[in-house]
Amino acid sequence: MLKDITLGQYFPVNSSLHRLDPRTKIILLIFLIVAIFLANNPASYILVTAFTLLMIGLSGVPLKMYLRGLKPIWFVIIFTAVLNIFLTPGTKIYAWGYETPMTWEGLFLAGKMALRLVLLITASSALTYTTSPIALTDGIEKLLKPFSKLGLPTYELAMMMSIAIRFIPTLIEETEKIMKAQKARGADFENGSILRRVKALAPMLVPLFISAFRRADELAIAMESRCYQGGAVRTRLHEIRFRKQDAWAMVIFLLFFAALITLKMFF
Amino acid sequence: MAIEISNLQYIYMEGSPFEKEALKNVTLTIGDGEFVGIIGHTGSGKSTLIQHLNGLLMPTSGSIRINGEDITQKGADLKALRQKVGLVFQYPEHQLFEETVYKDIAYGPKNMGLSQEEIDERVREAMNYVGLSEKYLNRSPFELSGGQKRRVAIAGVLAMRPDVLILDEPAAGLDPAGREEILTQIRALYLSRKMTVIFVSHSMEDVARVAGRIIVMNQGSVALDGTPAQVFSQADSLRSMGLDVPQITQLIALLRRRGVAIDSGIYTIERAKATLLMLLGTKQENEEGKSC
Amino acid sequence: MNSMIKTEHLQFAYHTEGEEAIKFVLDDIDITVSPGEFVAVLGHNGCGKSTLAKQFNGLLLPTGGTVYIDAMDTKQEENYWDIRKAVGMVFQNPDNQIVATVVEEDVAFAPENLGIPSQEIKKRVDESLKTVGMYELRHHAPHLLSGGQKQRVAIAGAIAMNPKCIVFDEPTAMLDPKGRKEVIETILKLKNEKKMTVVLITHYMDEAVQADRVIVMDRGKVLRDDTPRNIFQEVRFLKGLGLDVPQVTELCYLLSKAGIPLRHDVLTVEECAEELMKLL
Repeated sequence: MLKDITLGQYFPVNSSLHRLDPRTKIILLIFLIVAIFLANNPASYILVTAFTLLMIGLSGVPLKMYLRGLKPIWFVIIFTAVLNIFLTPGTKIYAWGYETPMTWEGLFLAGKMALRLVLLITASSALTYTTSPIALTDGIEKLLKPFSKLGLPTYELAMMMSIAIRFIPTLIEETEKIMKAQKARGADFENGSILRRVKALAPMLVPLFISAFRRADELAIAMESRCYQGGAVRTRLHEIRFRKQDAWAMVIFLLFFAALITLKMFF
Repeated sequence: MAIEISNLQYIYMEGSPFEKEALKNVTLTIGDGEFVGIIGHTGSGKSTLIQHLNGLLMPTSGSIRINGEDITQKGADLKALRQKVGLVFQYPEHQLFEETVYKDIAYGPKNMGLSQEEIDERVREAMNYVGLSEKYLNRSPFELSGGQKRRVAIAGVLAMRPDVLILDEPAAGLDPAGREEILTQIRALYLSRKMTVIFVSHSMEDVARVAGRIIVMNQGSVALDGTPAQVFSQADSLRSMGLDVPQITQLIALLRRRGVAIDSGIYTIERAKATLLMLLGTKQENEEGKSC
Repeated sequence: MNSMIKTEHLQFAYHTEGEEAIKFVLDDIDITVSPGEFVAVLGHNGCGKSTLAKQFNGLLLPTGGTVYIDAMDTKQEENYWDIRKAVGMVFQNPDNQIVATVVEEDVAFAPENLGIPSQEIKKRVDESLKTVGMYELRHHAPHLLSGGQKQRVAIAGAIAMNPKCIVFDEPTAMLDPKGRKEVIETILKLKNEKKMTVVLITHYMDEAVQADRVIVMDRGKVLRDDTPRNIFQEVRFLKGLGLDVPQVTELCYLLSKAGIPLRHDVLTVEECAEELMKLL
């Protein structure tokens, strides 16, 4: 179901990760992703996994939520794993009499890829669960600030992003409603050839677009009524600030990163 | 078409933190040709209930039989069911999508695989039922007024010639004149097509005007079920369920509390007027008698 | 004393290129709203009442005539922001006026736009949320709230600008009875406790009954401008415009037409019962 999509959902509790400056979290996530790709031997994988688990622990968000975030991509993980297991050349484990036997190398590669995917998703979820969309867009806006001198409309981009995030649940709800209404008129979204199914989408997409435009129109009027005038003079309810804890987070991360490089070099 | 609902239970988003028992143990029978009003405030389970009647939602447990056929069984023909049980959603004008009024109304019949002549006949018939002139046939539905759009959407369901028509808040967001018009048309439709009509609303006044039987939902269960007179005589318990009792009902309850012997089942202005005239009339006669 | 809102021969037409005859959506409107007053504007859909509302904070500008908000002419460009700040707006669809994903962030939107320092924003946001009774839910996601709650958040968002007046454009049209009650109670609180000027556009008679004054509109014109008591006596006139009257008002009207000596300006159930008890 559409409601299973958890990416971009904020989980409002008060944890040490929640209290970090969003800029710190965005930067650290980028480097953590780099670290995940740098890992190449069992020791470094164990370290990266341990660090990700530490983040889950510090985030105050139940493990269940992270597992739910993985649900939509289980299929991708399993699919790539199966491909890897069978299509990687190497020492045979078992063959069904075809050209493509199961190999040890394939099994390791599959495990590595699956672990990487899971870590990537989990780490990204740790950011979105602990950072409200507003803080997130604020963080991105501030990080991009240097580029505004080059003409990049950073403030407007951030506003667009946060409004998009704000309207995701509304539009999902609307989509479900329209789908039901058309089903009640005999629409069939599940059966038939691909062409038929694509055609069957028109009764859903047209009303959805019309409603999105209507909403955009009304929202623009409402924003104007509330003195919206672009980013020039805007202040914030919660100004984001780089504090001591952010410095600590950076230090801990650097230690982790140094350890990873060491593991990579010496094992 | 008789609808038998027994021990219906529906759990929303089972196993998630949002889990909620939206319907608990609902048992109901709606007879062929009845005009039933379902009222309850938001979250009372009324919308969830009606979505079960044409298979858009499947119960967690319990069964629904329509004309004896269990629609909750695996392999039930949902497409056939949805054409027999027509469901008009809240703000149905938001589901319009075709270039012309004609094509939009024809969408349902087309999905049923009918012939062109048959579709044509049904579109015209449906427009007639909702009081839309044929001059709108080739207009874009998006150029019409809000009330007209809504009628196009209702016609889109009627064109499937359902035996049961379910309407979820058909008058929501309309002004008094628009509301009056829609209610009158639904009533006329019911009388001429002899269909079963289920009318869902949170406006007691609207329901009282059209329905012959009222079912009150509260917290996922059926709280009251009876004729309008029976239901409206329970003014206090209706209010405790967060429902807005019509002024006339409030007035009658107040008068009774102050010792006036008046029928507690009065809920329309006309009945109130007639009854009060009688009461006042006899009163005046008595006084005249005394003064002689 | 200045009037809060004053229109002089206000005319308005949407510009449609190439059309010969101009159709006025608002035609020669002269109304005045005094500070602290609660005025309801009644009329059926399409009578021009929403267009009128948008004139009150400069979202639309007059085609002819003048609109003064707190003595500022809406057509003068330099008044633009002062007018926006003076008049808050709350619209019909609660979903389409909430900008942020957290209640308090949404309420902060207007003061943020005005460049107010964080400390002061925080104060205003908390106060506004307390006024509408949503302070406890300040960290919630708006899309999980009920219709009535969302609308109260929208009201808080308007109050956070510290306006003198709030214009409500059919704020209850999409709500259930419970939500309607919450919103109307909040509106009354703004008027009575915060001494705010309130303009309420509606087609619910039971809401208009609570106003100090009711303006009845039809086809872009003001037909009546009087107290609710005087307006709702005219049962036949209102019904002719496609409007309703409170059920008890209609009952008394019908009874008195049938020869029963009854006051027919009753507005509430209690008044009606009182009148009837005199006779019974």
